[in-house]
Amino acid sequence: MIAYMNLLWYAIAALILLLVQLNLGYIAVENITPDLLVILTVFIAIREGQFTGLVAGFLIGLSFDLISSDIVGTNALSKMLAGFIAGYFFDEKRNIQDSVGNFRFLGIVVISALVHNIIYYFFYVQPTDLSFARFFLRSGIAAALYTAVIATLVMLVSARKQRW
Amino acid sequence: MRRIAELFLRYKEYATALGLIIISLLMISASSNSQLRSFRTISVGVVAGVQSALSWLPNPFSLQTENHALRQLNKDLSLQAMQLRDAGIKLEKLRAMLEFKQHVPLKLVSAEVIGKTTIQLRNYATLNVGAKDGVKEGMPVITERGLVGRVIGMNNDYTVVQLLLNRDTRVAAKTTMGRNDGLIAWDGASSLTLRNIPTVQPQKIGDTVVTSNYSSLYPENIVIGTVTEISPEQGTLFFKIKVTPAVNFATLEEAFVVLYSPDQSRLDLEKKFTEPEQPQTHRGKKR
Repeated sequence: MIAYMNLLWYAIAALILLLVQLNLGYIAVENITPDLLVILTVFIAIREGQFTGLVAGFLIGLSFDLISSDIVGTNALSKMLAGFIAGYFFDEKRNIQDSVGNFRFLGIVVISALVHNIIYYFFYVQPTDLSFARFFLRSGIAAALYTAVIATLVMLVSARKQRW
Repeated sequence: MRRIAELFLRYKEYATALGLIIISLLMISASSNSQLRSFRTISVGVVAGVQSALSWLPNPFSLQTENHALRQLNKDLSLQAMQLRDAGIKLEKLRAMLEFKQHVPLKLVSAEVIGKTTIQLRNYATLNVGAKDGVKEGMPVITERGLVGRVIGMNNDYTVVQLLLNRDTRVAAKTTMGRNDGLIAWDGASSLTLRNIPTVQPQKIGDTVVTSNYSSLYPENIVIGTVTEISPEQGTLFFKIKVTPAVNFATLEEAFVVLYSPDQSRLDLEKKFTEPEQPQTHRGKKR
């Protein structure tokens, strides 16, 4: 069962990241931004399990839907599924260093971000003129890789903690 | 009931995921709900306030894009300014020419200079008017500033003009204040030379030189240039007067052909008295 203290930290982290995510134009490259909320969802799913991950993804996504101009439910659905996918990699025997402080974490982030982006495409981008191939290359793969680059920071911090 | 609860607990992830998918889809389909929209209006307003408070943070990527866009804009505006400046100069020229055309008592045909040489010993200009516009050989060519030259050849569409800056050009001219008639020719450099002005007649630097009424080729009083240097010609009783042309041949772009033909009866009469007598050996005269 998730510890209340962890729950509080996740809530604070989600609140901060929601605000940061809305201002990510600062680090946008060719209008592509990393999805910090997916990283948080994956982190929670890996640390706390699939059930917690998918509920956290849903709540985080729903919160983002409400404060952004996206259609309500799209981020909730896509982030919930990202948490669901990431939850498959949950191993309660692993500590934070083993589960997050290595390249496995980056792989999970890329897979979850790709799933997230594809779901997001079908419910949000599809009604527009943007083709799937173009969207997948640009906002699917490129955004997932950019998200993984930012997730590297989380990985490095966790790996450093391991050495201590 | 217990079995259902156990089943749910066993597959709680899938059941929850399914439930949340359904909720999400319901929310997506009800996204245009007015209550939801009003709630979002408030939340987006709050977030916009936070974003506005953070707007002072510099954004290197957007600065780069903005710089690029500004540089492009600067380039476009510079080009536009250059074109406008050029258009302004052209407009001024055309306005001056139009005013000149309205006030001058001569019949004129406007023409554009489509080719010219100014650095040779015999310089010519080509105009985009020809015989179909009424242009004839020998007609003077002028601008609002003064005399340009004389038509020496044309076809239906184009005209070749012998410029003042041509070693073959000779124009009967006079100074406006001194009222002395002389002959003007090009010295091969940047100025013209007015000769045959007697040294007994005082001349003045800055005086305007115009075509003389003695000229059988040009109408009188067309400005040729300004006196810039007066010196006695060695071994003669005449002045050698340097005249700067009124027309800037380097920037000549438009001109007028004066529809003026010399008085043929005058030319014939002058020819009769100035031409040398026919030799006595002529067959017709023998008889």
